[in-house]
Amino acid sequence: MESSHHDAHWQTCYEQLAPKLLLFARQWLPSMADAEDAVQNGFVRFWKHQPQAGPEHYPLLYAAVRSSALDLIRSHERRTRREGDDRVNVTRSDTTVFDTTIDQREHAEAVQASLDLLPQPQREVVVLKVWGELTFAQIAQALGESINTIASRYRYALDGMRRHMKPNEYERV
Amino acid sequence: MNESEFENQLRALTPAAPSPDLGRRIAAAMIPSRTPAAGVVAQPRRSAWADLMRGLLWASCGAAAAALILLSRTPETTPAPASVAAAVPPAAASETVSELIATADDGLVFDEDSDEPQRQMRFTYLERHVWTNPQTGAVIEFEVPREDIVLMPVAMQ
Repeated sequence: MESSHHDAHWQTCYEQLAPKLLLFARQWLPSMADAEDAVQNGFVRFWKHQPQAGPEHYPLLYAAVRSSALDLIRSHERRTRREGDDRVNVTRSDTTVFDTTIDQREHAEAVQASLDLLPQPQREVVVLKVWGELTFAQIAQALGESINTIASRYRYALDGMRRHMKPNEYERV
Repeated sequence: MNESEFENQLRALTPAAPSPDLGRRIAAAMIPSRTPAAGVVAQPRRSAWADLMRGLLWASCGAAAAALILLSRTPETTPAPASVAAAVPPAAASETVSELIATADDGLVFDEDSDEPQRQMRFTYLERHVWTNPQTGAVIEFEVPREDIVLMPVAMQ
């Protein structure tokens, strides 16, 4: 009985959050396969430690995926150094980050391009706030920063994206 | 265009779904952790104390075996040639400096032994050891990088 509850918990969580977690992981790992590995590792690790987790714990799930993504990057770097292999530059262009209609495709590419230009700390805040739909307090919990820092990064990030996506309009404003 | 309009434009984009394979992999990883496979007896969790005692037992057995072997052998004293002993005078450690060169915050992690998330900090040091030979004045310096990973408990509210 308890195990079926547990299954229902993590399955519901997966259905709700998998695309968001994947987008979050892809901010570090451009390769779709690597990002999915990071989501898998973070997700399983989180649910192993928090079998009764509810939505209030989901910020920690993002933290677990982030930690897995960073572990994967470090492991890639170690392997690259060890093997002297510099062929690890994977471009994001092979797969899409957003599900888009034909009309949205150009907009989606512009959004991703402007995200790529942001510093990493700003980018993760935007992704968690806009697509992860977390509050500033939850993002602060996930990233271990103060709420003021998170809010400030978010404002800077939005300004940066608007400047990149709509340069003329931004100048007029 | 104000900030909320811009946010709405961003929210209009939905993140791409992962491949169906990811769901299957996660389901497969979640299930074995709860139910053992058919024909496999679930092992009780071993305590750290039992592991320690088992390690000590094996270590003492090894030490006893080594002592028996040493005692059973006839001591053979083969003094090192005087010229070699004289050629390699002893050097003594004269200085050890540990310099912190980088710190990194890896964020929150889940440790295997703890139910609570912990903050993982990474400290990178450069240890410089200096050995000096008092007889000849020769100085041997070597540097060793060292990385300490520290887990600190985090109070969640």
